[in-house]
Amino acid sequence: MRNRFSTGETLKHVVLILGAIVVLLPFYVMVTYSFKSPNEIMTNSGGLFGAQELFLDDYCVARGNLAADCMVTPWIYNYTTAFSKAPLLRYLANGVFVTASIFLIQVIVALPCAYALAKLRFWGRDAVFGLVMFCLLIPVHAIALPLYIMLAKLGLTNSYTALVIPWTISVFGIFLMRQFFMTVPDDLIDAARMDGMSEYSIIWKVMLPTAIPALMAFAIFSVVAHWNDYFWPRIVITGNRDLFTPPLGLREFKGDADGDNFGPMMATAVVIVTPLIVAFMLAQRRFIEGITLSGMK
Amino acid sequence: MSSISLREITKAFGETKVLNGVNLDIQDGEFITLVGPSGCGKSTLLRILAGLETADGGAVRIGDTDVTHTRPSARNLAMVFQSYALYPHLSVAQNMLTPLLLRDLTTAERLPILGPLLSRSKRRALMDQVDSAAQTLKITDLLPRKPGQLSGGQRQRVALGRAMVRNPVAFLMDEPLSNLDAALRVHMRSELAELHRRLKTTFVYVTHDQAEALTMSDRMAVMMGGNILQFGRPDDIYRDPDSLAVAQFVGSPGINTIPGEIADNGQLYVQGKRIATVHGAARQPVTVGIRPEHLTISHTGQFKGVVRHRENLGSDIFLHVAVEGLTQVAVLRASPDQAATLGAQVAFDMNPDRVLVFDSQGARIRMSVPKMAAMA
Amino acid sequence: MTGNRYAYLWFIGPALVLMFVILLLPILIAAGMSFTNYSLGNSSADFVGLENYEKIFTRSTYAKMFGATFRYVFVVVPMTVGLGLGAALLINSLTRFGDVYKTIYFLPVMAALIAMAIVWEFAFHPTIGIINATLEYGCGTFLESWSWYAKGCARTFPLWLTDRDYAIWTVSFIGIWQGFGFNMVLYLAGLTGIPRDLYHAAEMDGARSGWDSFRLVTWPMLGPTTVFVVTISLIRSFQVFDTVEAFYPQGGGPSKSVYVMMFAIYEKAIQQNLMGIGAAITMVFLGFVLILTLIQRWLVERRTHYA
Repeated sequence: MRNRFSTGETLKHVVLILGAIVVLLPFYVMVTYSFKSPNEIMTNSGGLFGAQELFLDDYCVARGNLAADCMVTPWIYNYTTAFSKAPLLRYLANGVFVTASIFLIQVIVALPCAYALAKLRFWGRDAVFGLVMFCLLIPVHAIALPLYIMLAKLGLTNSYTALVIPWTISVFGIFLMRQFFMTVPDDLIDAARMDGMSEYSIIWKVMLPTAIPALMAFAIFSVVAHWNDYFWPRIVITGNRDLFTPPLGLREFKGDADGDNFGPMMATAVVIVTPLIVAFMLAQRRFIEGITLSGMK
Repeated sequence: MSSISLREITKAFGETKVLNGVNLDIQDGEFITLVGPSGCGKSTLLRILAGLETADGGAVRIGDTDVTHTRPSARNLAMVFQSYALYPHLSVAQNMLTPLLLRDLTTAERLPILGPLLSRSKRRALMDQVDSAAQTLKITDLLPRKPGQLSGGQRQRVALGRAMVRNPVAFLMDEPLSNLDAALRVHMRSELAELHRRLKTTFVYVTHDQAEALTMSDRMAVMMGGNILQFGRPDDIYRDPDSLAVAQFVGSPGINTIPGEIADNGQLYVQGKRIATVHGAARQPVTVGIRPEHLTISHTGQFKGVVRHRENLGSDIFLHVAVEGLTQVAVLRASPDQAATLGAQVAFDMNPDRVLVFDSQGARIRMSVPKMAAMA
Repeated sequence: MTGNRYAYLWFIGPALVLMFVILLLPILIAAGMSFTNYSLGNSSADFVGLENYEKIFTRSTYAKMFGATFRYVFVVVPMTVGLGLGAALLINSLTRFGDVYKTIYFLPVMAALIAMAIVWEFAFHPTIGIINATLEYGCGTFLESWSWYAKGCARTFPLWLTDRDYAIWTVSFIGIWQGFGFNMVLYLAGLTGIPRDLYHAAEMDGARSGWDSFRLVTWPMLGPTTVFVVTISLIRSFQVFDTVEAFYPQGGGPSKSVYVMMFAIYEKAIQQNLMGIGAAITMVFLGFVLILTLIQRWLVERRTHYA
């Protein structure tokens, strides 16, 4: 233990570094390609950030501009194309809107229910909790088909509503918050009641503030899942690009990518992946705590 | 049969020095207590003896062998942890069997599935050892249970059982009673002492509770700030402490400390009253320590004060007396029938034979007290 | 209590309604539909009895579906669990830099899988992909003594995603790449939950090697974590879709070798509007998930300790 760089320790680092190389490989590919010109991508040259030599933008020429005016720097070209060829900003805004709506509604629905299950005594409480435990077994993706049919019958496909509705109920959130509320001492709630608070304000003024750590955990879990979700938007959003979430936008990009568009496509991928990664880097401990908390029963 | 000796043990965690060259010799079969306030290094010293920590310097010897660099598993010591550290997934019997399996079976015999087939008779013999240890501790009926199904006291016994089952050179115990409730703790003291008498094995016991040290040990080492301040029989430590720190640490309620002075002729004065003679001591201000039981109420007492608080323990009553001119209250022991009421005036004397004198550094100034005539 | 005796109704009401409408009702609908030949746009549907289920369990397409799904699951689950545990143990035993590896290994969990799938497709591209390009560097070295490698050098390295012998394994590899960091984090949390005293007790009891204390303390103490990690990995890998759809928008890969269940549901029901058969696959899928979770519950309850 005294010797920090013993053979054993070195060997562990070697293994872990090899693993890290494999893990980082696609991130490396993604970032470097987003900086490279089409030619560099095709020939696998240009090193880490590409040579950044000007190249001719064929599309620009095709629109009748002079070739001399159409010389572009690869990385600027890739990123501007990412934002101009498709309404990427719109997709990002959709992503933020949908993710935030889902989380807010989940909290508004789950918190009172969790409180009632943890701290109120009423007839049928055990049955309700049993139901929650049963619903924990149901992966929403698995029942996407009947949900889709229900929404189609209501004429709700291709709408923000369709993107949000299936996720409004998070039994997992109820379960997590209930477990957390169980640890809050009854005395705290009784004291609030003695102070004349209604049950309703107890939830939002007493329980919510104490539950911030658990709520953070849940927020992380929810945001990661829904920002990255591809399956459900793929099903309910058909064609209307105004409603695309970032993953759908990227997928569409791929659908009509030709050789020239690899660079911009990688740039789009970088733009979509970066927000969560940056958030993760900034609040790493919270993130891992959150994932862990939500993972452990 | 082996004695244990620790030589010049030093240990630091980063910048913090935890042990500053500690020496300790433990004879075979002794019940030794390491006692001190938290952070004094007593647990670290025990863990160095166990091998769970490596000392920065110094040597550990068990019998004639230097074990300073020996792995814990090869030292043949057993340890009872504060948290008991029972394997929660194993039954009590399996918990107690584990040290035997790990020591007495070969790697092949410990293989899952195949192992038990290879070593059936050996395992049966080991199980008999577990049974006899369980009988000694009266936990035979707990053997099939899991630790999670046991009360604190029962877990404590199982932890002892796991330590006992393989006849180690010594038992190391790290605050084993601190997780028990008060009544059970007192009861376990006598049981541990009894167990020690029966096993005749060395016990090294760490505690912050001076009462445990006083009641159980053959010898106790009072530790503070990474040093052993005094090592000796509990009686001697209580009656004849080497320093003010030891005197204050041992005993409950604590010793009374009163400022005094030694005059030119070796006369000890407290509040201008002559108490005793300290031969061969220079003129200096001193701290006088006197235990509550050595202050006696008497109408003619030299000191007077007002009772501020009565601490009734049933058999004894401790009176907290505010004495004029003293910042601290004096605590004195009285029997219930002679105890004064709250607010009453009391007068008391110090038993001059039992006065402990410490210099301004807190070191003891020994004195031979000549028999004095009754004081006026 | 006064007027708020029925407050709980307001609290659990919305959740209950949503649970019924969004989670339970669809199961009933799927169950009902699985016995029909319903398709969207048709005003009516015929009851076809067990015909849909019969197709699922007899036709070769669905045999391929089960084959692909189980191949994926039985590769990805042990590998993600094993690598997750291995990484957690290694990182946990490091004196420093552990956090760096933890961060790196967790990145794939955070990244949108669809985006990374597209990147991997590049990386696995037979001619311009970085993987085959890298493999070619190894040609002419000792690696050629490996016959597979020599063959790759002599002709071409595999087409990976478009070769039916490699496709499912390549997709599985991406699943492992994406998933093991999550399990690693769960295992790291499990490891911090093991009292250090237990390791010390094991040493005092005579555990001589790391293997001894792993068997005596680490592995049993990680039991509940393992059960959880395995279940969650199973359910997640049963649900694989993003990569498959990204690589093979039509048809489920070369010779349908990557035709996993979620993709089958998507293809049958959404692309081909065969709702009945899609619903039947959904029911079979739910059956799997239910069985797996019940097994987990049973295992967890069986080995709970330390109240």
